[in-house]
Amino acid sequence: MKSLAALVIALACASLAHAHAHLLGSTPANHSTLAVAPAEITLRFQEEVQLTALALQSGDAKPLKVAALPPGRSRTFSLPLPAIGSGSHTVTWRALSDDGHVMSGTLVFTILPSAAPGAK
Amino acid sequence: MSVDVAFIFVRALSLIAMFQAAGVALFLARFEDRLRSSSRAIRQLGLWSALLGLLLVLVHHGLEAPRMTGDFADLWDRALQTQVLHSSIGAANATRAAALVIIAATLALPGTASVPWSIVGSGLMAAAFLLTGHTTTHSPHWALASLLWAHLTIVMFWFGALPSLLLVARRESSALAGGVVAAFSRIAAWLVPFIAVAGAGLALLLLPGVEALRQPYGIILLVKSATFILLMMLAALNKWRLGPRVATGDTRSLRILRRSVAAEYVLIVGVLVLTAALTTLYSPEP
Repeated sequence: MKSLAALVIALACASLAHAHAHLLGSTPANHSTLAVAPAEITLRFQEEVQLTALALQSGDAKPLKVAALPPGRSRTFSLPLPAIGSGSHTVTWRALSDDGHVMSGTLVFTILPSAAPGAK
Repeated sequence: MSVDVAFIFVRALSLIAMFQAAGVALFLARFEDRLRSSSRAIRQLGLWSALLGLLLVLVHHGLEAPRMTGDFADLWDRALQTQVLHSSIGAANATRAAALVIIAATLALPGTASVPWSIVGSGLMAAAFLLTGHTTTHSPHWALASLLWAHLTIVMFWFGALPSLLLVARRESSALAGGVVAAFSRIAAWLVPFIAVAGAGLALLLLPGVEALRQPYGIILLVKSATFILLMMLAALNKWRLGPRVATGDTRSLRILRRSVAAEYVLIVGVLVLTAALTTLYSPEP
């Protein structure tokens, strides 16, 4: 009985790491490497959703909320990003779908360091 | 603790309390006329479950706004809370609260009207789950709604019957307890398998194909199904072996029956916890 309870809890917790249903794609793409920092982020969903949270975390810094979220529902959202430097960046998002379901997900992208001074 | 973990925790507890309250009400509607000394204790169990469920529904409703943003601070965001209140989520929670009030009143004030009102309250509780979730956005709506309502109502009856049967076994004579167990088992024998039938129907209509069983939603469905098989084995043990022996005054079988019923209860709690996680985190992949 204890083993079954542990299995139930383990399954429930394991599932927490993989909750990102129905996002068709994004720009920048997940796990992409960029030469230039993007000026905006675009999220494309399979169905109309309301974007309820969008945050950007650069490295180990505290996540910051990205811009004011647009009201209403859409399949595509494009929001400006603040100026960011090289390194790894994580975008976390949440969206409310038609059935009252809150979806969530993360995207990671990397910006390459700029060329050294004096290089031609 | 993250918002998602807190949300799932409260959701799981609210499912357990709501299902127990509705199930106890249905059990009493069917069997109270057979009971002598356990009726009051079962009523109190159902009443406290309903009151706890009401509190948890309110807490769960409050957590919807932080769940939308992932930030506990948004618990106090008036605009978000207003949005939730006016959404299908708000309607579902209001329906659950109304159902729990009816059930609590029915259990607190026994009388000739308690049987139909128990059925109304429990039916309304199941109907609340039709207002949100995958069944609202997939087709055909009527089939999905019917299957889900039946699935939930039978689970509630089964879940509420288990602690009720434990109280019957503890407080009534062996002959009476054995009779109630036998009567419940006769009903459960044809009703409970329909849980699997309705569940399979829902899965067929919601999942795009067999491949979906490899996704988190499908995997959790498979675990629920495996747990159901285990539950059916315990139920069969209770019906065919233990119940008849209890009716003859076999105290050893009575002890084993109590443990078996308790094990069924714990397994269903596990399924409700999984369901809370499943319905919070996943939708069937399109």
